[in-house]
Amino acid sequence: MGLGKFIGYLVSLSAMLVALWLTLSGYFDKPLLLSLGAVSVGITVLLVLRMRILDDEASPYHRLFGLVGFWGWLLVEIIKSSLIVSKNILRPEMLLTPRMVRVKTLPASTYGRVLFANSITLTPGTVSVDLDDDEIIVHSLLKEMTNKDDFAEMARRCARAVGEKESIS
Amino acid sequence: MIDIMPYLEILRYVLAGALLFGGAVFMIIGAVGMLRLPDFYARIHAAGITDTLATVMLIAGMMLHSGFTQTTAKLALVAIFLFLTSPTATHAVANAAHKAGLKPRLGKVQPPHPRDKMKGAK
Amino acid sequence: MGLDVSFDIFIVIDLIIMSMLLVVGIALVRLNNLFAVVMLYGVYSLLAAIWFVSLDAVDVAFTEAAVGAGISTVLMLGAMLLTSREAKPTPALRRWLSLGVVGVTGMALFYATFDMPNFGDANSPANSYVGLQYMYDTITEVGVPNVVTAILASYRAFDTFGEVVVVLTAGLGVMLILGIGTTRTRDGESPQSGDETTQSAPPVTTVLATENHHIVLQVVAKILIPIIVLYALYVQFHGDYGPGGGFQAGVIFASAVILYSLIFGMDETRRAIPAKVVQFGTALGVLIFGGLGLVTIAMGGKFLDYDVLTAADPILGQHVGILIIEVGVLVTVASVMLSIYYGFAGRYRELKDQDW
Repeated sequence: MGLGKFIGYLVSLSAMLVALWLTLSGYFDKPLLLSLGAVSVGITVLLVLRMRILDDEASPYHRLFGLVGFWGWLLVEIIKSSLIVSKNILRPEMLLTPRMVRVKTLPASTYGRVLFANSITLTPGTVSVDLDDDEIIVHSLLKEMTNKDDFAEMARRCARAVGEKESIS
Repeated sequence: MIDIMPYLEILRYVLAGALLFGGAVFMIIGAVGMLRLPDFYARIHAAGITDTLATVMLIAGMMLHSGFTQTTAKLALVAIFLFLTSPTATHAVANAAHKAGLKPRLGKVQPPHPRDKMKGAK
Repeated sequence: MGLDVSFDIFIVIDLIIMSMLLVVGIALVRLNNLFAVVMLYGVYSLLAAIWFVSLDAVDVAFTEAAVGAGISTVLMLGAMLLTSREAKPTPALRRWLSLGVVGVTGMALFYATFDMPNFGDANSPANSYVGLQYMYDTITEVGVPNVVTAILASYRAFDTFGEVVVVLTAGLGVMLILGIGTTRTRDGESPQSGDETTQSAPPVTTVLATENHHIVLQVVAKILIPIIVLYALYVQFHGDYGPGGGFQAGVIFASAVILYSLIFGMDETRRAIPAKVVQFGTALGVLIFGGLGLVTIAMGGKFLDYDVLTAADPILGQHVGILIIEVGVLVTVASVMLSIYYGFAGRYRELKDQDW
């Protein structure tokens, strides 16, 4: 990791922590609390450095705008599939067609893959069971939820949300 | 000229109440699914409804109710936190079951009709 | 007096939560699988926390959620891994005997409730005399909006000092029995204690490389840990204004470190936060707390009388005093939680998937 990137992560993490402190605290006019906030951010960054977890994945805050758009799209998907699953749960003659599928179309970066796996889990009806080097194993409640193109669409959007050009297939 | 602000205010509370009610309904649907669905992997999906749609609706309702205040900002933080953690926890549980060798029921599964279940209980 | 028949939704909520507590309690007694018992303990604590919120005791609820549902679940899981997953069945005679003891105690407690004042009674001892005085005088004498913090950290600071010493004693007990795992080095040299540990754990980097289906957990943990640590410090420093303070913050801080340890391994955690530091911290917090008491005596006041800290402004002195002792509480609580965790987690080698 280059020094420039490292400083970039440091700055974006610190900025996020400052914003988080101000949101939680809500006291902008008390110098004591503000300086304690600065101390707290310092302690947190120090601990993160000692834990050696400061990298691209720990500090994804420069991608916030891409993620917000993605979350909007995801919310619509969640509502759609929630309604399908709810309808099935409430139907007296429930008919399930559970299956395990392997999804091979993944975003290239680790971060994109984790976002993809979690997005699959967030949509009711599909749960990512395992994330390996080249595939995600997905358990799905209904057959019609394992459409290959839908997964590919989600993978593409995840990759774009984290700033990748193309998803690998 | 009619002042529409009071009407908007009423609308805000009506919307908030509707969202809270909807969230509660989906919570109950998730609970029903938890009881009706046949195996571990299927039940995860029922929990998914309470984790996602129900929670989103409840938090959105509370945000509308509290208006433009610090509480709303904190609720937004709670929502982001839940969006990060709940799928991760679900994934961890499903992954642990998968690694431990729990086999899901696949193919066609038809859980018993509630009416038949009642008869069986008698 | 007489029965209050007016409909109060909070009574209904309380009754629902209490019956859930009862059901979980019965399930806890009847289960033999310790894993399920530990999980139900967490559920029980969470329900208790919700109930405390409904009783307007948010500070207590916060502690219950952080300690009962949060960290003690992990500690009990750690203890369970050292022993067995199943409880031995209890002999029938002993079961009936314990039921009898519980029944008699329960009836005695139930009988005692007849002498208790009504809930929210303005004339009850808790709501009159000294309690009332605290409510009136906090703003002028201590100057913090959260009366709970004023009582805990200023009026009754000596009691709180006692509590911190109790926490330290608990930590010392665990350290004396289990050790803190300082003997094991990063190269995987086995400690003297325990026969299982002779098989040395591989360095943590290789563990992560071979088990990369934990990617999701790793990435989310990396994002969450800084947020949890900052949240703990927010809770620490806003105890004057809202629910929170050193106890809750210490536990939340420790849970961030435990999360790191669960995902990145014990060796890596010992490297980031050495056991020696944790050991030192357990005593340091008590030293800060007690030391401030001695300072106030030296400055001409009574033990933990913060008014004398700043000559001109007693209210500022109270602020400074509360800030310092809360830091002491934070350091001791966080360190003791971590030392207990280190004690448990240092006893077994890194778990692999095939161990489950």
